[in-house]
Amino acid sequence: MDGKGEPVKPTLNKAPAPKVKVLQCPQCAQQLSVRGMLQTTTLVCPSCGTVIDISDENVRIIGAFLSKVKFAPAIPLGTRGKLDDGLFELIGFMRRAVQVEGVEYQWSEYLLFNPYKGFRWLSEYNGHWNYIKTSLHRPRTLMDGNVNYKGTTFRHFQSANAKVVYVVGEFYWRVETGETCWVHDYVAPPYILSAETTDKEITWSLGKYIEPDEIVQAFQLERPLPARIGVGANQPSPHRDQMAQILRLAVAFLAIAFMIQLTSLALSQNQLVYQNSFSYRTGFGEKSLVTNIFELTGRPSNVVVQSTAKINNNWLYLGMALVNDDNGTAYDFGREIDYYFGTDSDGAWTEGSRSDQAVLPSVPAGHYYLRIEPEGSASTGYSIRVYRDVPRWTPFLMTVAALLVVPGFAFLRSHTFEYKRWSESDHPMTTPSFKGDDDE
Amino acid sequence: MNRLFAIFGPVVIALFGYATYNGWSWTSYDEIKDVPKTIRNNPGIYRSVYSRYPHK
Repeated sequence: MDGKGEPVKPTLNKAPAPKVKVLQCPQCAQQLSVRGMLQTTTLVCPSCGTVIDISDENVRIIGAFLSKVKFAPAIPLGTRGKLDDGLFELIGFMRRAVQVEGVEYQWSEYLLFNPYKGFRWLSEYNGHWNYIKTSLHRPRTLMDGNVNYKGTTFRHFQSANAKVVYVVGEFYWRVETGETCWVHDYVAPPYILSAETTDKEITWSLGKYIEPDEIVQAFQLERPLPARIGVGANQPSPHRDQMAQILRLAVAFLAIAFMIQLTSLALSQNQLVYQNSFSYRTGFGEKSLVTNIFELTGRPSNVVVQSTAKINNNWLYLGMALVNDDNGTAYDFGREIDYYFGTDSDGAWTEGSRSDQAVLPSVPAGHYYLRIEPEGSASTGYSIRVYRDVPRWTPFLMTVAALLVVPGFAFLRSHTFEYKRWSESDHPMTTPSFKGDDDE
Repeated sequence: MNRLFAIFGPVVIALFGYATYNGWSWTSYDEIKDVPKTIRNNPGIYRSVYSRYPHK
């Protein structure tokens, strides 16, 4: 024991409770607490669903929510939680629903209250949570149907007629059974801007996506929150930052590759070291021949052997060996030249080519000659050209392709995430989805 | 994935640099050591594996 004792861990539940007014439900005599002080207008009894007008000193019954299904809020009424802008108490819970193409979609809304800060909302749909505050700033509507809110463009996501289907707790307006309003949602992840329109008014509110873990921590919940399904309307893309970093890297790598290619183009010898013409005769006798000796200089680099034959509807095969006269090393290779042409019902056609090119890699410097052994079905003339250290584009293009694989994959993942996001909106993306596992 | 790309990219660049320096290509060839010096006088004494290509 060091005498200092265990540090006291502050818990929200041990914080002093705010003063509450207590009354009895005039319908079922359930004891009810009013936490929203003078701000509360309507109280819905959690026991019998009776809607009580507590702004009237006689505590008048103004209706009842007769729901066959009782929804249990994921966060119990009366729970207090520390959120970004203060300590709030959950005083009301409601379920709202929209119908789209005959299918009903429901979500939950939690009303929070702080006597100094006022009201906030938490909304939850398919395990995706938003922390919402009413906005007094009216966004500017753009020509394309989107809105601009304080310099940020929010894209229209969905418009639907929302209906209250279940309600319990306190509210600062007169809750009515079947109360409806048009809801227009605009998104700029992680934010969502909602306009709730009735005959009398338009209310704008700004929400920010909040991770379920933050809710659990803020309210110190013991029960797990509903699992997330799909992609939330304003859920920040986990791939967005990654995509930006990968693109930056890709640009840097491509720039380096391009510099290497430019250097190669500038410094390569690209030198013609040998050229000659020969003729091939069919019949008996040795066909093979050797060329004069030519010199290859510089570092070990490529040797390009170009062969051209004057053939028509025929072929010529050249079995070749590039022989180092200094040390007796031979590089054996074979090339076939074939060229055919004609006409048919589709018109003129050609196939093959009268010329060919072989690229021998990494040939050391030295004195070389070519041994050529031609083979063909008709006599023909052919010529050979040999180049040393020729710059080539194929490795560069292969490098570019390889460097684009990872950004391409990252783009597909990011695109799939956005595809899933917008699939539940009024503006689904029409391009096919990449089958990835990006539900979260 | 960023870390993977941060490793993969330089490896690709290094391979590209090496390939460019050495003049790499796809061409298939055989390297034969100590071929006879007399080829120059009598080319027929040497037959490469690519002679008499089996085609057509």
